[in-house]
Amino acid sequence: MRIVRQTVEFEGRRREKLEPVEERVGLPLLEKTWLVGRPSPRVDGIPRVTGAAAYSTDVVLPGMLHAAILRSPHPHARVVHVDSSEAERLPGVHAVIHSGNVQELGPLADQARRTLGTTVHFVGDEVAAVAADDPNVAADALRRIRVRYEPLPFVIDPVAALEPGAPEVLPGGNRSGHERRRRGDVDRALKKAHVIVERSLRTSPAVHHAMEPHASVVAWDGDALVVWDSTQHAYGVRRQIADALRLPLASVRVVNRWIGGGFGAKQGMSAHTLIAALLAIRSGRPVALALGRREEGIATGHRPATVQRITVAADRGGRLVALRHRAWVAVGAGGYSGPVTGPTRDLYACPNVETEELVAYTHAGPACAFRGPGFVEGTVALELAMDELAGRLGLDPAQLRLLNEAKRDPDSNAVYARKRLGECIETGARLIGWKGRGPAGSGRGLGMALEVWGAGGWPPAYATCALQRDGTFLVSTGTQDIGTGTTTMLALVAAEELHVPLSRVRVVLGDTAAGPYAPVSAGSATVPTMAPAVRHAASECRRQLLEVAGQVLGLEPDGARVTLENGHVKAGRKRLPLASLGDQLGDHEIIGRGARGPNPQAQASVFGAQFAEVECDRGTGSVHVRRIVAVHDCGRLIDPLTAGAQIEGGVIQGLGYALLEEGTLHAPSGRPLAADLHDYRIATAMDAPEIEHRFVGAGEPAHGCNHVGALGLGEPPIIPTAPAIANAVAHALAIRPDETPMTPDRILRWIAEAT
Amino acid sequence: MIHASTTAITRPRSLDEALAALEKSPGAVLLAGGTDLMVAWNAGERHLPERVVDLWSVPELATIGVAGDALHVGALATHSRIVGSPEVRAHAPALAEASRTVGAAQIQNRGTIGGNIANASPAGDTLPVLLAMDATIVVASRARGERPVPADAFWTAYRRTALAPEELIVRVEIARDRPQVLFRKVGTRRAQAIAKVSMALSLRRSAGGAVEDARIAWGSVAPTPVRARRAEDALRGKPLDAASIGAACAALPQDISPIDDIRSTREYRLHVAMAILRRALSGWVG
Ligand SMILES: Cc1cc2nc3c(=O)[nH]c(=O)nc-3n(C[C@H](O)[C@H](O)[C@H](O)COP(=O)(O)OP(=O)(O)OC[C@H]3O[C@@H](n4cnc5c(N)ncnc54)[C@H](O)[C@@H]3O)c2cc1C
Repeated sequence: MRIVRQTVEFEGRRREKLEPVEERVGLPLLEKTWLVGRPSPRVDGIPRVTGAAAYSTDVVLPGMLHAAILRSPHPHARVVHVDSSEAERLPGVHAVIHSGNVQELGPLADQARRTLGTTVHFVGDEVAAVAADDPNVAADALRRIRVRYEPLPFVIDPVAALEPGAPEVLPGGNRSGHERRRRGDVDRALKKAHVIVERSLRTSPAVHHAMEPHASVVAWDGDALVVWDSTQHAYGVRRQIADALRLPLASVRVVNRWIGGGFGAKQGMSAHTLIAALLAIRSGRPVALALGRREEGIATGHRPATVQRITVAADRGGRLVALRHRAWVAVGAGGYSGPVTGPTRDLYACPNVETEELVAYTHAGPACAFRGPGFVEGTVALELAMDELAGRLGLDPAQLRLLNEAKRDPDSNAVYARKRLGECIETGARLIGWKGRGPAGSGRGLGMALEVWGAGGWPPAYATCALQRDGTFLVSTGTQDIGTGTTTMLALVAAEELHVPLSRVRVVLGDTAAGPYAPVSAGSATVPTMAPAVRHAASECRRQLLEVAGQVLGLEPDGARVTLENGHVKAGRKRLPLASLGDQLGDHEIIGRGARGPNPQAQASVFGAQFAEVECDRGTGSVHVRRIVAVHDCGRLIDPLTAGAQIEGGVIQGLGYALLEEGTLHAPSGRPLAADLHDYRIATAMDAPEIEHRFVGAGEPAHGCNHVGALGLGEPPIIPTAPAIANAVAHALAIRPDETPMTPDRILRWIAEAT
Repeated sequence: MIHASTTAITRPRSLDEALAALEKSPGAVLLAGGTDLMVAWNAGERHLPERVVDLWSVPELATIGVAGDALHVGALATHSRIVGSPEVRAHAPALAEASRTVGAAQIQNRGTIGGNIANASPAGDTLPVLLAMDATIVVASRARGERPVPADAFWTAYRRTALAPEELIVRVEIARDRPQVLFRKVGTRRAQAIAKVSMALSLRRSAGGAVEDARIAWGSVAPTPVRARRAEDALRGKPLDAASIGAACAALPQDISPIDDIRSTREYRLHVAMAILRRALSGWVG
């Protein structure tokens, strides 16, 4: 072990970290591949689509109870009194907990108070919970709980929340964060600028609405606790549960074998999981707690609402001379925001940049990371302003962007692991027919936008690879497949290294009891983190295996001239099928252990350009996105099929953000206006455009990031979609959008403003 | 969440049985596809009733066919069957078009025209079409037998209909010689969307081109589906030209009373209603 200092980037924020590094993690860069990079259908696709896969809600245990949560109807109130006596008397009810009886939980009372407190901070905040024989009884019991509230004043607008005298969301004030960054001197640069564009933008909250709702099943196994949880981080939930319940880490097992999406809303232990655990303790029974769609809509996180102001300025030739970007972000009660001004800091070469973020607590559900947090919101403002700047300069928007491409990371001056953004722009422009882009205002529009995102992954992460006696391999790791194809990609990486058909490798993940530590599946990090760890494990397994095989074949004891080819050990003319080697070894195991090595110095950002073609109807204000061309570079592709799926999903989600999705609260009441999927409009198949995607340099490894040469792709595709559509709409109608989503009524307003 | 140990469900096998069941308990709630009722029950917007008469297995209510001069569409005809029916496509294609925009495939497989009519939502997609087609809604009770109600008289107030407690809808009748109807729906997205504004328009013109009759019906712009009678009057007897079209559009705001709600604003609805009317009239052929 040695210690290295390195930079880690997570969800757009960078920090220095000390990392202990294991020896021998430094494999040579994977150059030529025989399997990795070929389109491979998901190894676990069939159980997912036939229903055979058992998600958390499918887990049924003997004696299991069903829990439900009573939620606040008020955006801010004191819980004066809770009377649960009638609910407790209902036959089939086994436990009821709320702020009035948590003291009965003894040493765990404080934990319980954190979720079931005497103040509620948003409509949907947890007030009480019950566990009953079946979900209907639990729902009935909730209706029998009488709660007396004392409503308190509330605030939901981020700017208002930061004004003096605003109702306090949490003790200590509403300012959750205030981040200012600057390079150069913006004021001076503005004085000399040739063109200055100023824009403002309001973005609405957006809700993740993963296909699978949040769900946990909690059960005791002797004195150990087993939690089936739909989470993006099994090991993280394990630590948080152990902490909260004061259990030794090793006594908690978290299983997240099948997950139907997370998008950032399942990164850690959720309130409902703790509630399920407390009810399991209270009732002495296994407890299942699955949230309903409305609960998903109001209480499990969202992309925060923002109010933004941006100034971009250029010299006569079109070079950026100054960028200033200020954002107010409403993160709800104790929520989180990504760096909204991050793209302004990272995307273009510009010597003078000032960014400021004022993050405010508000009386709304806590915001959390949502695919490309911050960058999705901020890129809309930046790229709208860039298009206007191009127009004012008389430059083509694509040309303006090429002109201002950053050759090094503009913030840190680090060299990039790889940057082929220019190629992305040129390819996309060709595919969309950018040359034929006519003048603005024709009703048909073309627009584009760029994307930057740190997607290099980080240590620590571990995996093992074991030769089985039948000649197959078992790869075990504590990572999870949140629906992105991780299982398939890791199997491909191991099979590549071991030179065996994909069918000979089995990947086991999604269970802290089955595999070693792996980090959260977020920050587009799973591939660049786990692929190297698995490759290392497979390579260690192979090394040991060849050592043994050499001796079995009567050759050099160090296995030097023995190779592994096509499922056989080969030495000169001698060939030994792996199965017969396994047979000879019997139950002796050959286990390779792999670890993710440290991050090298290069800045592991990924880039992309998207182009949108839209048709707008001046009469109704409706927008039809006909086509999106998405050209991205994320280093080597492990599996083009899953990569394509990421693009398609990101684009469709981005389209929803641009045009449809609006998780806004009703200002006078603080209640959600669109809690369910009837009113919260997710794009349907009919709304989805034709999507054409390309990857630049897909078959070549990226240098200077990790030895597989792959970077992340989970978040990047959603980032440029909304701004590309916004620019296309602006071009189609010659308007200046200043709000998302760009609903038809807003579009009619902008048309009226423009004439 | 449904939790009803006290609801009695009757499942008649014929129209007679259904009418008898209804006569016995006039307060009973009729259940067809359940796509409106189940949502209301689940959301707690409506209490589970004591009695439900489930019409799903009444064969007489499910037929679609031509009888004499009229197309008959049974109340229990699902939107899917309406979309797929050669008779509907031949004689009332706009009805098939409207049914095709209801919810998604699952909803269309279960939801019925009778449910759409009786639910009486101002956003019900088939309702403006029935108004524009001057359809007759045939209702029946055991005591009084069948009673034809013109679509014009069916929706009386917000979610109120001319249906008496012991009556059910048997079928819809549409004359086969009616002029064709143009249907337009402006939803919140391209599928699975409740209408923000919908319009069904039919015109009959003389050989000389003058408008002899106009029926312009709207959804989502008033407490009930409504005809725009002033706009119709502005067209009647006139050639279809810029002047009459302008007059019709100018009259429209007096015919409709849109509101702000979760799906849209009053202002937007007015603007769009005028825009789609103008466009439909300007592009009218035949
Ligand atoms: C997800 C979703 C999307 C939807 N989208 C749309 C849409 O886009 N457009 C649209 O118009 N509607 C939509 N609806 C509403 C609904 O599907 C339609 O109104 C449908 O036609 C209702 O028919 P049903 O048979 O399911 O009615 P039910 O729910 O069974 O009944 C509705 C009402 O009609 C009464 N009723 C039913 N049959 C009769 C009868 N024969 N005589 C007298 N009363 C009767 C019932 O008592 C009840 O009051 C949607 C619903 C859902 C759940």
